[in-house]
Amino acid sequence: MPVLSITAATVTSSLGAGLSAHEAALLAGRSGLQPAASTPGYTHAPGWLGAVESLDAIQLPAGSAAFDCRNNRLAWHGLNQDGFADRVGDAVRRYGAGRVGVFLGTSTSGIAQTEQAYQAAAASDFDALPGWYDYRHTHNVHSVSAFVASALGVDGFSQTISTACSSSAKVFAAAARAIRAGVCDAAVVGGVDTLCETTLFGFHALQLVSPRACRPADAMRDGISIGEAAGFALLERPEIAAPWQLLGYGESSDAHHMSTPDPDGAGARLAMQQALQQAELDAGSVDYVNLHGTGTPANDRAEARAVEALLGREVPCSSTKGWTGHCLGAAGILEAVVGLLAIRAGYVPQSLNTESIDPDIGITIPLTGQARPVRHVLSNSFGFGGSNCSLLLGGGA
Amino acid sequence: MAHVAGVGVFAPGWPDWASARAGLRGDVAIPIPEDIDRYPSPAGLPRNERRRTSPITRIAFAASEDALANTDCARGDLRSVFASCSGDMDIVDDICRALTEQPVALSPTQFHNSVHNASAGYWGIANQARAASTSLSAFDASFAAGLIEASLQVNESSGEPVLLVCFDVMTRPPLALARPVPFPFAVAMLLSGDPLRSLGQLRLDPAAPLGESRMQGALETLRTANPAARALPLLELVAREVPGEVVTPMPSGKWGLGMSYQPKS
Repeated sequence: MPVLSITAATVTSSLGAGLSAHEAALLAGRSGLQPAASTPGYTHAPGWLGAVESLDAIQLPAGSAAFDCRNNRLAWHGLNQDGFADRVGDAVRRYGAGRVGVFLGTSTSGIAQTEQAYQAAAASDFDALPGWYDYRHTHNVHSVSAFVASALGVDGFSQTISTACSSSAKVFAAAARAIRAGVCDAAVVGGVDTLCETTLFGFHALQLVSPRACRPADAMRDGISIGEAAGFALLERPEIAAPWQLLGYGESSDAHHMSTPDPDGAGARLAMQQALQQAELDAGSVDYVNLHGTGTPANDRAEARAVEALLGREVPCSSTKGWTGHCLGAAGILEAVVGLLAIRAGYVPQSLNTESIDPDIGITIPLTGQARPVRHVLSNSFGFGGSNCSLLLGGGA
Repeated sequence: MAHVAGVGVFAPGWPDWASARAGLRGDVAIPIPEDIDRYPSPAGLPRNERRRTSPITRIAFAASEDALANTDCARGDLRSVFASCSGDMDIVDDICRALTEQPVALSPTQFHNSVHNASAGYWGIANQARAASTSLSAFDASFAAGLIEASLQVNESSGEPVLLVCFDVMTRPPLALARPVPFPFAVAMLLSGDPLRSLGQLRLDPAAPLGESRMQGALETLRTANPAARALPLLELVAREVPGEVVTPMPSGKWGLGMSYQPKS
């Protein structure tokens, strides 16, 4: 029995708005990354970026003015793709507003508002923050879930998971627990993270930003490119007919270091193993692994080790961060949706920008896209603090 | 449904559950909340890591250690739920100030400590805990959300223990002008399905009518001043060893979380 039915999904990133834009870009091998120097508003930032165009023009729905910030604009833009908001509306009519939960992941939420408020306050030596500044509805971690619940008219249990780059993968596990226990009948899960100076310059301070577009698994890889994305899925009980299913999930901790993965990938392996066990599938049943694959030397090596130890060398594995950049708190949902598209299209996307595979990486990394049946996808998301989550996704029964 | 196997507290004047319990039972006066001069050093971390921890991690550790003090649960296998409304507001202040200077130079340690799950990450390292750990927020309802999530995890793992810790630091200017939190507060609860190691049984109703159990005098000031202190009405039942039901708003603000407590007889 699958864990949950995935009755609707959508995603918006630098590849475009909605599923079709993502599928087209993946099939065409077209990246959304560009140099920060040519990204409006971020020309002072290091590296390459995966920015979503025209967010400045997005207007939040009536009654949401207090929530206005880049992160919630991207959330709203994302909710309006693929008829997703309407599908949630159907679920609200079916189950009642109080029976639909909201579980979103974000790393930095609307912290860009606080950054801007401090820029304005610097002149007065931080005596006061500007009158427009609203911490609760913009910067606070939970702002994105509060906004999405309000915009969709959903009143069920909600929480915002913020475990860095595993945030919006772990929301699937939290929603599964809530639906299984009868706390909710359906759940809106997903994640939203937007470009902000804290992450752009923070990763730079850790010397983890590549000066060019990231090259996951490449012998010459030298860091990440940062992107932004909003993605959502509607989860319902497993007996509901749906185009996709959540078959299993695994959550674990590295217990190793705050910002460096365990070199043996023991925690990562544990998360993948749990997902397989819950799905009652053996290693040979996985048709494609969407790697966390940030493009840092340490992550890609450790993750490849963990994948090889559990699944062997044959299964095709790729990171799609060469397309979108690392979307941090939104990476989990973005890459889960890429997995759903791989199943729908029967297509394994290549490791974009990768030219020469690191000889230390023994797993199969396709350098060109492959049309082939994809029944089961394992999607990995790992974060700072050693937070790991793996999702096992499948097509509808 | 879950059993409360242990409680820990860290707050001004309340360095542990024993002192909080005495206050909540009315045996001693409620301390006047103020800042804390020295935050306890987090146990179990290598010296380098220990030095890097900020007050938020220190209060989360203090409450967690206190909750686990008289228990024999295997820490490496212990799941954890870290619930905090705002995370490390001191680091937000430091980073946002640094971003106003040219050229921008952020501290790499501060950046990796800025993630909402920093305290959970340090807890994993200190206790060699590879078990699942989550870090969440639901603004002022973060305790309610954390308590539900922890009890759902007890349920999912067929009664295995789960550590819940709910904590927020005080805010300083200028952030305190927009989000005043006048003192730090951390509470930890060890929840499990095991009736043998239980202070009492907790039943949750996440669809109770909207309501908010209030307290008397200084306790009410404490309860409302820090999101983590929303735990106090439940803690009062545990401290007094009396059955009762208290309520706190759900994250939606449309429903209440009913918390029904039955002490072990």
